[in-house]
Amino acid sequence: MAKIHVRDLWLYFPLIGADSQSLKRYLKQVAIGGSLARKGGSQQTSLVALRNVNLSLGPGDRLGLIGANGSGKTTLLRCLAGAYAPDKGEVEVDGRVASLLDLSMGVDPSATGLENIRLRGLVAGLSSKEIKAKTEEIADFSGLGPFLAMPMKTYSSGMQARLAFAAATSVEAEILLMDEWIAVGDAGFRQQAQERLTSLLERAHILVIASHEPTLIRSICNKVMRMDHGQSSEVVDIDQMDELMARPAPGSTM
Amino acid sequence: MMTMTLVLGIGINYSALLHQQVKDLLPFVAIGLVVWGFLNASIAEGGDSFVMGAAMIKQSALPLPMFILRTSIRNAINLAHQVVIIVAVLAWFKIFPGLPMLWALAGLVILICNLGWVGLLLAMFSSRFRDMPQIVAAVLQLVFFLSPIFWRPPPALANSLFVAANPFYFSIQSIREPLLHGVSPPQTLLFLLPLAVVGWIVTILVYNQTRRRVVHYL
Repeated sequence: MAKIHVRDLWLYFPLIGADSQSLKRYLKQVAIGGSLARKGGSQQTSLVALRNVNLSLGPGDRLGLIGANGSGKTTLLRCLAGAYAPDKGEVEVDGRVASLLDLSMGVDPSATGLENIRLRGLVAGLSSKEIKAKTEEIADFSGLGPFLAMPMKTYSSGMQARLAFAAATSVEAEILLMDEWIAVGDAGFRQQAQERLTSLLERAHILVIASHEPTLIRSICNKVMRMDHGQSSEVVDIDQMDELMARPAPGSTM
Repeated sequence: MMTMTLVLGIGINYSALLHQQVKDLLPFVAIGLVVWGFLNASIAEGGDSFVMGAAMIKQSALPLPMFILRTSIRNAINLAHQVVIIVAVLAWFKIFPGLPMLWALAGLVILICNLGWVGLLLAMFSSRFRDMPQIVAAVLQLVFFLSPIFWRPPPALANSLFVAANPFYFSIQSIREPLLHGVSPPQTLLFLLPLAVVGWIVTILVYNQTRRRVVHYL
């Protein structure tokens, strides 16, 4: 049974300037004694990316994440994908997750199209057998034909996007994570791509999508949550989206 | 190809310069350079593993050591190609000390164990400090010239640190000596084995502390 359960999630990002990414500079600082001032609490400055986020989703839930830039939408998605480990609280995700956060993830430009399909499948955790079964379908959908035997770097950006899209959306996932709606390809391909994405959405048990497009959220989601400065609102029904958007930001008083 | 030309160049040139027989020096240089090439690439690329895999690390739950494993496998495949050079040189000079040559495999296994923790440790530091790869490359270059890889250590240097306690030299010797003379110098494995154990313990401790931070450094 697919399920997402997030309880009291806090996440901090250490803020590392370009200067402190240099070991030479860091050591020089130590040698000169520049760290004296920080001796009391040598705490690194960090940003609170997620502040006490609570979320509980079950099968059939389609959650839209809204909020300004930098409010923590993508960060929350990455937490759900398992890339960020929580600093405090719990993230529990049951079910096969497909994250369509970055389509080009794991693409090797010097490998051929077919090799990249395989690579992508391995990264997604498929077995060799499953990949073989899917390869033909992916190749078909991408419409790249003989180009699949050529290195990916020889493709135009549109062709790359087609293949990445076909591979990324071929997964059978119970939980689908998306950062904005994906639109790729020329006019002909776009129509097919929309249909494919919609059918993927329908098959998934849980969808979490971050978007700045209210109409999109209204058309595909049944629940909505707003993020403000890393804080989450409660999850409300899609009917109450206007009311949720009109609320003053909880972080604005700080 | 690169290694082949180096082997021939250094092997023939230095045998003339150092008044040594080509048939003595060339096999010594060939094995030394091939093993060094593997060691050098494993350390340098191992340190880069996380930075290279940043896109994947940032959005999936793939375990970090997998990225080191990727680098290791790539370098092992490269090594397998280079082994041809060793085989060719040994065959040309008709060097075949028999079964004890298999000690070289023990040396190789321990070398891979050691390279594993070095790569993982460096990868963590390199994602935090971006000038780390350049520093590592510079240090490796220095080690290459200071260690007896393509020159035989003269007896006068036998007690110097670079001959008597040099893990790079020992790693190469643990593979080279069995192939050339059919004996594994006991002090090399007795030095490298504990090094692997201690190295892995330290690396695992650091890994437990750093693991969840790496993604933020990238």
